[in-house]
Amino acid sequence: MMRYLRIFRVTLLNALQVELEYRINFAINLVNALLLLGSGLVIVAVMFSHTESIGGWSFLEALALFGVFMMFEAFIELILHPNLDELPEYIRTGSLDHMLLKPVSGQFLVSTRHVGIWHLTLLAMGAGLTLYAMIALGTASLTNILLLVVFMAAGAAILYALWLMLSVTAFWFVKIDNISVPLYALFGAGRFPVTAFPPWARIVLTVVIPVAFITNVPAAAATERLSWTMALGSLVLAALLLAVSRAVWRYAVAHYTSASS
Amino acid sequence: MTFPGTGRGLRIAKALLIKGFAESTAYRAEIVLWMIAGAFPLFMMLIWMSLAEAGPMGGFTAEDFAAYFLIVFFVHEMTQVWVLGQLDEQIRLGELSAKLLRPLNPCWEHLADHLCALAVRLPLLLPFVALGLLLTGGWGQIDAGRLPLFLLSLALSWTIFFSLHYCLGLLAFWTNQAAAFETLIYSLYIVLGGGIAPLALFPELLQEAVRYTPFPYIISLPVEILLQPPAAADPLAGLAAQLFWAALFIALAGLLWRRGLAKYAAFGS
Repeated sequence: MMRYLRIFRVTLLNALQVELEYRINFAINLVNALLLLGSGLVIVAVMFSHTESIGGWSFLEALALFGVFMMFEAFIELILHPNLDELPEYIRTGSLDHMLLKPVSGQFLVSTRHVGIWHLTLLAMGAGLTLYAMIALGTASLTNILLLVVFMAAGAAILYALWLMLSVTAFWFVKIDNISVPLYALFGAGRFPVTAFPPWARIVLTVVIPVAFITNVPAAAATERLSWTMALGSLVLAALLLAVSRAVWRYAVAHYTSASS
Repeated sequence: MTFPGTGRGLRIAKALLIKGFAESTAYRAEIVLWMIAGAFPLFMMLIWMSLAEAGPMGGFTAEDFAAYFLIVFFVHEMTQVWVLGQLDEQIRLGELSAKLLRPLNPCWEHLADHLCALAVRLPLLLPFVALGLLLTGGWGQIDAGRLPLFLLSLALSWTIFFSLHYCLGLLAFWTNQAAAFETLIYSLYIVLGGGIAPLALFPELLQEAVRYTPFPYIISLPVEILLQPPAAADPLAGLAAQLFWAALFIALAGLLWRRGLAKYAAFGS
């Protein structure tokens, strides 16, 4: 475990070193993050200028949810996108061989090799927005912040596992860039309360693309509207999907025959 | 950027279209993935329809929202443009040099590729939108007599968006970060263009400000042309504004191309 933390620290420092060479990227990412924040606020503002609540969520609760959504966007840009979306390329070019030969978990290396470090600004903005909403609602207790972190970790695990399982299909279909595009697009529904959708769509957003658990549960925890069934469901689903995705990864690597063979 | 005269021009157009069509059909699986990526207006439709169940929102009934967002979805899909990333790559990596050896401006190849991809999308898109309109009751909100005006407006939307992307892609002659504009322009397009809510529901000040940007003329206008009130727009004033933005960006693209090329040539020698 310590060894993996040390490796990840080196990756982080390396990413920082590389990115400091391209400082203009910081400004560009900042503008993009501000625009994401601004456009999200416009959406919430336009909706609430015509109604008091969306799917039973008040204005401030919806803001907390959008903050959580932004933090997940940041997670995608920090970890999932720069790493898992490269897997087809590693397989095609054969650089996966080198990674599998290293004396650490191949899944770990494939998942944490790069860090989109500038997207930390997005993470900070999302955290700030959620915290602001929690303070305005009077729910900003230490317990709630802790619950928020725990359920965000569970949500991140769910999203990571789904993303990994999609990317792993590259072992069989070599030309599979953009495979994560539909998942990412459907994840976009996670900026809204699942209860704002019609009943059939709620089922899809709970079972197929579980944004009900990924974004809604942490935001509900932060605003003291979380039910025990959903809380439990989120933890169980996270553990289950992590185990399944691990098994899928092992199965895929076992059947991997390398690019040149 | 003039296109060669009739005889030779027709032959070139045919060759470009055959190539574009072959490429588009080869990557048809990818095209379906990108179509799913455009689902965002449909989320907005489901949410606004649920909200309007209790009663009209700002004059919009559930059927109004259904028709509005299904046509937004259609316009959104038909104005997908990826020339920015391609130009950025070709200029930065020097692939442009090979293209410059041809006696034809590369913009025609990009144009043909995009049009062919649209032709592949259309047969998938039309039944889906038609079915959606039938299921949601949005069909009655459409003014079929305005269909020709809608198509004209859609063509202008596409022209504005394509030439805007072309301008931004050409910035790769001066910066190696041109690709970053893609996210930026997309957020503005979807939010200010009316992809999240009919512009009529925006706060008044924002509604007014948005009219001075090109974005409502890319998504919102063609949609509003096709619909009955409350979303309906004045077609002629709108089309005039569309012509203005299209001409502006095309002229700008021409200017950037000439300036950039002069710089690019100097860079290579």
